Amino acid sequence: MKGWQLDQLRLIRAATSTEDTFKSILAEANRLGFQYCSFGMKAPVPIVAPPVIWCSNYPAEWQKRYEEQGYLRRDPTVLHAMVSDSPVLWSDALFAECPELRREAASFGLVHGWAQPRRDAQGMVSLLSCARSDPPISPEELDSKIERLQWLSYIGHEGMLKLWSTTLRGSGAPDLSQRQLEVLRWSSDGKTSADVAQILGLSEATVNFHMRQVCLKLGTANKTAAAVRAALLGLLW
Amino acid sequence: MSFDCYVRMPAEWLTEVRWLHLQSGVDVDDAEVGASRACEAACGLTSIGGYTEWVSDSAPTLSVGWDWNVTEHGLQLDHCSVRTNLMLVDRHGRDQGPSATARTLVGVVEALSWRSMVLEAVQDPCPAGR
Repeated sequence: MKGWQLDQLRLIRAATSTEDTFKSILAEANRLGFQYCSFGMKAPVPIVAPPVIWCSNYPAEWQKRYEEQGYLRRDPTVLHAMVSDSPVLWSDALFAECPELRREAASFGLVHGWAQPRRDAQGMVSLLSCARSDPPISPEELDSKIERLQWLSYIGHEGMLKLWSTTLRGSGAPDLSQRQLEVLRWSSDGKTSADVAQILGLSEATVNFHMRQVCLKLGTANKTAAAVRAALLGLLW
Repeated sequence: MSFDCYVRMPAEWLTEVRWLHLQSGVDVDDAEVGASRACEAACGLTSIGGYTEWVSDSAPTLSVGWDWNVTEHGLQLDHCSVRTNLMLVDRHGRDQGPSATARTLVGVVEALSWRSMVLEAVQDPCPAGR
């Protein structure tokens, strides 16, 4: 690890509040030539309405507008983060399905931006966005700064995760026993209770019992939902 | 009103800032790669690069850093890599912007004896920082 990476990591790890952590991220984004920065994180479950926490130094009026218009559900950088780990530059093409979002953001000085999604083994997804009014981000500038920007995204994720994970994940990852995990893994692979019973040398009744316990612990109504939730939470590996 | 972490200053005050070397490093992940790349660089096969960070002796502390590369002309500053917590303002107090500030700082930095300081720092196995 390089000296500057260690310095930044120490700074983030020493921060004990969202405010201090975000200030460290923002300070580095400022140093890298971006006046504005936002950092958001979402939990993997529930799928339909996962909890999201967001902080930024975007103009307050813009933050209010963004929420009023429900832009979080339509923001192409956020939609991109749901399906990809690759960074993305703001462009007219990116915002083609939501040009009003781009126009409104630009009216608040958020014209040129770069966004980096990040996800971890427990299914938490974060999005770091760095933006400015002017000038455009040239390929040469991005090439020079990409390593530092991506490191910033990494330490932002680590820093905020330690502060936000309890809020986002509620009671935390359920504690499934080894046997319960085995039953769930085979079930996730499409095996019936009878198949799992045969594979693990158990009775079908015992397999069904373990599966009921898994559903209870994961808060799901059936084993399909349990498999999905466990996969999103990174429990099946 | 949004907030940021910039230290704002009129451009004409820059001449009074005294810059001190904070740290420098070579962009390699291990010594073996560094050594082989150094040999390749000497044969003109590839390049060696690194970073350097400088701070002011004022309060609040100003910081400026940049990446550099070894070329046939010696250590060259990567203009696109300049990073700073400084935001220059015009006579009306308006931000000149991060890019304009960085461009101005390139001129300031080039007047520093940064090359000799960086070479000294990267060759010292136990750098003492400032």
